[in-house]
Amino acid sequence: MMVQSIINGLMIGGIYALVAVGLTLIFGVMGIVNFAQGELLMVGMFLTYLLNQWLGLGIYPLFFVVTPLCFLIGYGIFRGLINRVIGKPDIYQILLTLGLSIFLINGAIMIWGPDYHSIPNTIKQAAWNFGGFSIPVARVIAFCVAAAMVWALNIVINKTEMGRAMRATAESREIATLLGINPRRTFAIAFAIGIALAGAAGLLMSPLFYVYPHVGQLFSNTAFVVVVLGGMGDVYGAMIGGLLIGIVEALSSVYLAMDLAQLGVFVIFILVLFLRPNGLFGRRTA
Amino acid sequence: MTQKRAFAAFVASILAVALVAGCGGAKKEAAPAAGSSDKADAPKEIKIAFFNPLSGSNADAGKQDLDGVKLAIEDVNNAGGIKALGGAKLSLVVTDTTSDPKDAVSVVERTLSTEKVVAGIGPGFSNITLSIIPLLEKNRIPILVNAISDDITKQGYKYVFQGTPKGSMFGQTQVEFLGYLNKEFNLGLKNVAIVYENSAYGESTSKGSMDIAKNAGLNVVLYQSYPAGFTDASSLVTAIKNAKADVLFPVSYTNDAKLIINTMKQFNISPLVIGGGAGFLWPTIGKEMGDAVNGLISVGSWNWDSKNISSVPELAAATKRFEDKYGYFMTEHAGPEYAYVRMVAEAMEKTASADPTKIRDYLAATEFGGTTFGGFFQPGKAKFDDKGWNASVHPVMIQWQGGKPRTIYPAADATAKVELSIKK
Repeated sequence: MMVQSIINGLMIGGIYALVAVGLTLIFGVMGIVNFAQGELLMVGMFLTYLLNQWLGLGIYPLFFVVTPLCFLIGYGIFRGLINRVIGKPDIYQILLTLGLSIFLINGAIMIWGPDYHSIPNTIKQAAWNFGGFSIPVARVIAFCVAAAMVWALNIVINKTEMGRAMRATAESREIATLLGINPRRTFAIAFAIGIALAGAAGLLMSPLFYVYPHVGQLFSNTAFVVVVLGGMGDVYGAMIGGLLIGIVEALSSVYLAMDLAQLGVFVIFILVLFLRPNGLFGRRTA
Repeated sequence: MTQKRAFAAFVASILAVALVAGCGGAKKEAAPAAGSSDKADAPKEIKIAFFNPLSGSNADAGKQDLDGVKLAIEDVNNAGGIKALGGAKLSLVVTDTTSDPKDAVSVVERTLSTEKVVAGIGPGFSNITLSIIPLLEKNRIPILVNAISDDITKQGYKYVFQGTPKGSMFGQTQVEFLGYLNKEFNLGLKNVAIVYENSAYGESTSKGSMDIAKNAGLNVVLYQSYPAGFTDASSLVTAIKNAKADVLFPVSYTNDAKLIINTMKQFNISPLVIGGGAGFLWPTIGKEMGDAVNGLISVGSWNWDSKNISSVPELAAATKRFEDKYGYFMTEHAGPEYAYVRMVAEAMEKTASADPTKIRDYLAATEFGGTTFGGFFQPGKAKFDDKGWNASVHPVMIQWQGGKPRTIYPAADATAKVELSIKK
């Protein structure tokens, strides 16, 4: 039971991590908390659903269409909206992303209705069964792809010019500008990457969940907990935090009570913040 | 000096607002004439309020309620409106209560204070219903709900009517049905797991089902609540698997029903599922599972093809109109809501009045049935007792066959036979 729970927790943790990494990247580079991250996961799901209907392509092949598409959408949202509140007081940024979240949910309801949609697929009931344990295949794939994306992101951040630019701008926008880095463009790319990650998470979850306007909210709250737990702005922290929270949630639901799964999560959350106020890996105090 | 003036102005404006609000309220009380039988005074348009979530997690079922109500209003208006009131037409004040009981209160208050409605229809959700019925009682507007919580009629309210079975009856019917299956088909299934979503709906339906099961000689191996908004049913299904249940009684909404069914497939367990209603009855699960939905059994508060409906042409015709218009079968949510509108229309016809209290009195005193839409409720009649509950109603068991839910039990209501050979 314990091993199965840990497996369950790791699998869902991978998805929490993916959503949280996008969120923490955006915060780390430009100091914006994106309250619409869950809704962009929902957009990713709807894109998958629509493309599946129109083009007949399967969910996983669509990964290579939806992820770049979400990147472009993120870029567009940054240039059109977020750009205007960079450097302004926090309240503007909060209101903007909160407003975006409400807009996206209700826009989806207006266009597609509140109904639940399913993307037809055969993988939703498949699982690997061995030694008395079960791992649903869809969740394993989601976990592996999520892990791969986070690993790729780490490479981009640490080994590429653009990644260096992002880290520099995150540390000090003024000095980065003096050094010839274009901060707006750096922000735009970081934001777009964050959105692409959310959209990809949506696609990966679509075999398992209904596609409907509020689906993002199932993941938002946990994603925020993970981001703060891991240290705001720390990608590595968000990843570890995601897996940790997933496991804590699974173990709590088994050993405490199913209803108290969230309780376990928040207890751990408070404990970690108590012992390490900047999160597990947080460095910045600002 | 300016501060004092500002403060005085502030206090004055508060008083002004309070005065206006008070007057507005008082005006509303004096408004509807006491039973105007004078046709010249009769309203041309009578407003009925619709209260259900059209956004949030329960929006999918809320839409079913809306479709039922819209069709009923159309049917009444197409037949000439309320003839006793000069052919007055019905119009609908659609109020989205949202899926959050706290938000529902403010939304409903706004509707009641800005619109003159004669009755309220819905909600079909226990948690929302419980939070808004005090408002309707206070405003003396009769409300007919199709939510199932037992607590709805425990408050001593005079203006609240519940036409649907009580949640606590669902467990009883599920267990009785299992006993019937065991006997008919010699199944010998004894180990049952009861899992339920942890809001008012799930709690109400599952409460007592443990005792009922034990009294029926069944062995309750798992009794577990879970949050309907969970993202992973693995822990729940792992528990079901470890308990080695032969039969599962789940009480779920849409999302969780899907997660539970698919996760059970993934974990390779297939207990006999006797659903607790809601998510197991709505079109979404039919679309989700495709042909694999056939054979799925659930208890329900109402079904479109129960004998009391299929044997009465006018009633059956309404279900057919619904399906033709909206493209899906008349669901457990849509049917009662449709009937409620027709019953309110009947009340206005018979009392020749659009006064909410007169309507309420008619609803409380009348035995509905036969070809009027009170006959929609199995076994073919409806009478609200002194607590507001339709005491003759009972749940039915349905099984998906041919892509639609068919009534299979009890025998008096059944129009199809249970088919156990279709097991996924």
